[in-house]
Amino acid sequence: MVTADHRLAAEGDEGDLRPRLRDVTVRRGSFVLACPGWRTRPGLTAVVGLNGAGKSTLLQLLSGQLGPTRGEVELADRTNVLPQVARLSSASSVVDLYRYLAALRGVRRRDREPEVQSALELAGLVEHAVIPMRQLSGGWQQRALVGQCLLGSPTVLLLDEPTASLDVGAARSIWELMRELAGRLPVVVATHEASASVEFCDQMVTVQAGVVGAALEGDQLRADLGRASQSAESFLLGLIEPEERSA
Amino acid sequence: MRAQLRGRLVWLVTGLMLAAMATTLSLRDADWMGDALWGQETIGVAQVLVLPLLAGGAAVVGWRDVGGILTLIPAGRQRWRHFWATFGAWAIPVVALYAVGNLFVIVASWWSEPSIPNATPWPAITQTAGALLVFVVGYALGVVLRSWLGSVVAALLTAAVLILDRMGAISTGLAEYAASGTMLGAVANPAYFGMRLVWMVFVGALIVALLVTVPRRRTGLLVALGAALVAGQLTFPTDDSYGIRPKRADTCTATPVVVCAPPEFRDRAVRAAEMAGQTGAVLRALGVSSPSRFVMWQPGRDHLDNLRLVDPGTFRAPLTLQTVVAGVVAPLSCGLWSGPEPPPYSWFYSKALVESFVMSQLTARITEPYGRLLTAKGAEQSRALVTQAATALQECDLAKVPPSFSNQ
Repeated sequence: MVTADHRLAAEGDEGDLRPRLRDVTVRRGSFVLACPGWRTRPGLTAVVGLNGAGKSTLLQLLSGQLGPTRGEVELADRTNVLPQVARLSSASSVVDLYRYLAALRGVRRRDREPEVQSALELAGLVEHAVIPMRQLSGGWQQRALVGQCLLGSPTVLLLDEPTASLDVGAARSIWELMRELAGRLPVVVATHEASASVEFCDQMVTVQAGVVGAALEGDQLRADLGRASQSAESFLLGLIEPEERSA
Repeated sequence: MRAQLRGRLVWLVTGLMLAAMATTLSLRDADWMGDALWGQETIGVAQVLVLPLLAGGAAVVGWRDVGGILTLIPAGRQRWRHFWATFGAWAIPVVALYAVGNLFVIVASWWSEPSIPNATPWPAITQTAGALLVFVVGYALGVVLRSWLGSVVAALLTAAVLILDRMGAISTGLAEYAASGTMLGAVANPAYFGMRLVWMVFVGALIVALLVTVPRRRTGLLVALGAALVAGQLTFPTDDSYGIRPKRADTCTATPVVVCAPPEFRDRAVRAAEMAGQTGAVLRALGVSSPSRFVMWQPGRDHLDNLRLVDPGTFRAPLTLQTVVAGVVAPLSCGLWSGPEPPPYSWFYSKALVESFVMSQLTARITEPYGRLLTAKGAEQSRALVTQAATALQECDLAKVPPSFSNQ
């Protein structure tokens, strides 16, 4: 249920944050995504929607991987992306992988080691640093993948379904990590997880059948969920599928 | 790059490539040894085994990357850096392999007898460039096909391209000249090698650009790649890798029979002159004169009176009396040997008969077909027929061949 209270002002104090989209349409075959406006805000932004609604397309647009068919896109200076398909079950240790990724992202040699250690610490991976990626559990691998997004001094993180296929404990641990990272830079997460997204996000953006909605403030969402006396899933479904619900 | 070099695959594939190259070089008793350029082009032959192995290995890397590290680095610049790190890690052993392979054939040829100093950097350059291009193609196939099957496809495709190119069905500029015999007298054509090199670099650069470019910008690159492949078809339809131009002036033996050959064949020329002198003496005893000056056979000298001081297919094979006798009894300056129509059978029989007669005289052992003629006709009549045949061969006159030879 979208109310006026949920809407954030289109012009905020964080006007310099990018990426920004204005009247953007992107066409991929028969699928069309329309985004009247996107303004990146500090903190954790959850992008929610049903399967095929266009969440991943939106993230690809925000990262510059996809160009707009129409409209205006201002990309961030340094965007780090964790795609839905991201996986890396290599024989390299976590720290070697981080060093390599730091080099690929243009981190200067003298800055590389401090940045790698900082990312390992933030991701809580110091004790797992020398373990080969392929020997880590699924949850720790995913944690390592989220942590590597910090390398290269990004100005925004775009994470696509980072908790998919994780058990509840591992998924919650990733949400807590993302919440922590969001204290440092804007983090945009495309997700299906209703309760976690409502619990952790600073704002939420819905994508319904190829249309990107306005941002909804996290505190207000949590307050509404508390008053609604319904499950987080039902509450979220009301946001992302309002027509069918009302029907 | 260090991370990639720590991987096992690169060393496994390099080891297999080395084994394939070594096996090819050792086939047929390493008959290229002594002819460095032939050795270099035998590495070209080995490409048919080596490059599919490399393509398959590269496709495995591409397949792993597309499901692994590339998912973490969607940005073109990061993919570019990763590709170069990977390419560099594979280029080091590949370049080393070709450098070692080419140096090996050159050094091995130095220590052989005979030995011709005909090595050139060009085949080594294009072999290496071709291998690096194949790595790029294999990697791209692994990325595109997203499956381990990409390695099979890449290997088979590479083998097919090389074989079809060698057959002349297609022209890619990838296939080496791949000599099956001596490269004596052959001189590299730098313009042709250079064009192949430019083409390979251009095609490789386009494929790399396709790999690191976002999909919406790939159309132009694909068009350029298609144009480059078509240009290859038009540019390399004939293999002009080498021209025939003996670089080194001959030195000649002393009289009575003079044999002229490049200095590195001096010993063989002296022995050949001696054998030619003995052959001439046998012919003179029949009342037939023979040439007193020969050159060593080299490509382009087929129309001169030449002696095969080396076997074009077995470079290190020793000089035989039979070879010299064959060159003396039937001088190759005779136009019948190089005419548009082959001479009749009686001409070949005449040559074989005179050859066997001379060999019988010089080795005191009756050889065929002279032995059969001797049994059938007796000594005197046989000698008369041999004399007629030898005269016909020396005077290049088919009419002087005994008429009875047509029925042999």
